[in-house]
Amino acid sequence: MRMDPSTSSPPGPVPGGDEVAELATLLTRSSRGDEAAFATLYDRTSSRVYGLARRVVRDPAQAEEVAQEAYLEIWRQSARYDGSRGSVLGWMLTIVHRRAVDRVRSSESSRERDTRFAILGDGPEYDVVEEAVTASIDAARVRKALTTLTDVQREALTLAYYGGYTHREVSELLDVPLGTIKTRMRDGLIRLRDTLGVEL
Amino acid sequence: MTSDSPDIHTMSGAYALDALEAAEAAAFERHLESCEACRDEVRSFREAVTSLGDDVAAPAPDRLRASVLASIGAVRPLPPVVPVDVPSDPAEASVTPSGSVTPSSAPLQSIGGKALPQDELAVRREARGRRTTRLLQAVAAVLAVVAGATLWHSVSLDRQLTAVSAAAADVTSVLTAPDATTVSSPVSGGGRAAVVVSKGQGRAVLVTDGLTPAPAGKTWQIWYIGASGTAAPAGFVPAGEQAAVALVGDPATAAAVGVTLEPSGGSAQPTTRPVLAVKV
Repeated sequence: MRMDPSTSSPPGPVPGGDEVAELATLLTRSSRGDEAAFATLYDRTSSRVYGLARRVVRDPAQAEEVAQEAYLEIWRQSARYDGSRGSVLGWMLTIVHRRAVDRVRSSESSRERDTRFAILGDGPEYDVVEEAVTASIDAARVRKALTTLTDVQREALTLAYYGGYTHREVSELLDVPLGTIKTRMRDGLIRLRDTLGVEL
Repeated sequence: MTSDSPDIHTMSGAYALDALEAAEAAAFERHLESCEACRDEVRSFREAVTSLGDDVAAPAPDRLRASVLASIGAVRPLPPVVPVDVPSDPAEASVTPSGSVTPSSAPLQSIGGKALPQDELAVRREARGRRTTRLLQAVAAVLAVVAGATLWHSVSLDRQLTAVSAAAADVTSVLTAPDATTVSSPVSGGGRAAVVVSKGQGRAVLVTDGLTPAPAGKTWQIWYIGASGTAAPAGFVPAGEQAAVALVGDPATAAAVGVTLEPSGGSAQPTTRPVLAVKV
């Protein structure tokens, strides 16, 4: 069952029913203490987990720590995943994202973050730092979807999600009133969701 | 700052992006308990946001795989949250959210199956009640361990146990106070917590269940948060899968209780984003 680590975790095809069901099965087996199932779950998800942590915290060493902590939490909480509240991958990436955001928002990182924004300058684009992204249909699909957003929607989404900024900080960064930012985040997600054809 | 201000529905996007401050996120989570439209919306947003992860996928270093798989070998997955309020040990008392101690004749709510979702909200409320009850059962278990420990304690532990027993008596006193009120909330990063306040006694207790252990050199510090956002140290969360601690100071002047990760020994003021913020 275990995949060779050197070829592990390609981003994979468009997440369809097969992947969704497979991840759910692997998580269920993990919750019963099945370490081999968890190893496979890791192989199926590690590039997305690590990539997201890396994108938010930037520093590769810290990204590894965040990913490591997140996987440990996923293992611990595996029996408490609630399928009625979303997909396994969504649940996992929520855990990863929250940890990454906590990391960048801690005071230790605040100085680095200020520097980072100075480097970004104004009008940051979602792909301003090109990751070693495996070319994939998914990434292209997401980028295409992002282009359907207005500038403010896209910037609000990417600063919050990839940058780990709070809505207040995003409001300051973009010099747009807080109430407007909140609605742009929501409008942007509605459009992204509809463009990507997210199934409920 | 109220949890039901008219524009709370518009926070769903910021919430799904983890862009709310901890206290706002906690308020929105309370709103979610009673707003099915927002729950559905957040669920769909989560999936859209998950797609954003596809765009930044990057191969993880091989050593990450090795260290993750090595670390899980030493950690037991948490048990599921079981939908039945029956203490496994018949001698173990359960503590109800109202604060009264009851014997173990807890009602069988849905043994062997799922509650029928005729009214999802009611089911969720019930689930929340069960979780709170479970937290308080955890306290009973902790207290039982403290009591049991006196049977086999070594001399070197004597002083510690005396202190622990006194602390346990404080906890029990608040939990069983006739005016005890309980507010519970999920903890960001895993687990749940409940704050039990007795205004009459001027004391509060924090109960945790399934909190992620603080990393080496760090500790979970508790704060009383004033209406203007000022924070006063109120103690530390004890280690353990399930824990209960009496807070330092009177909750009367506090608007909320918060928990942050701090360096061992604690900080004078919070230095990280709160993982928990509940109004009291």
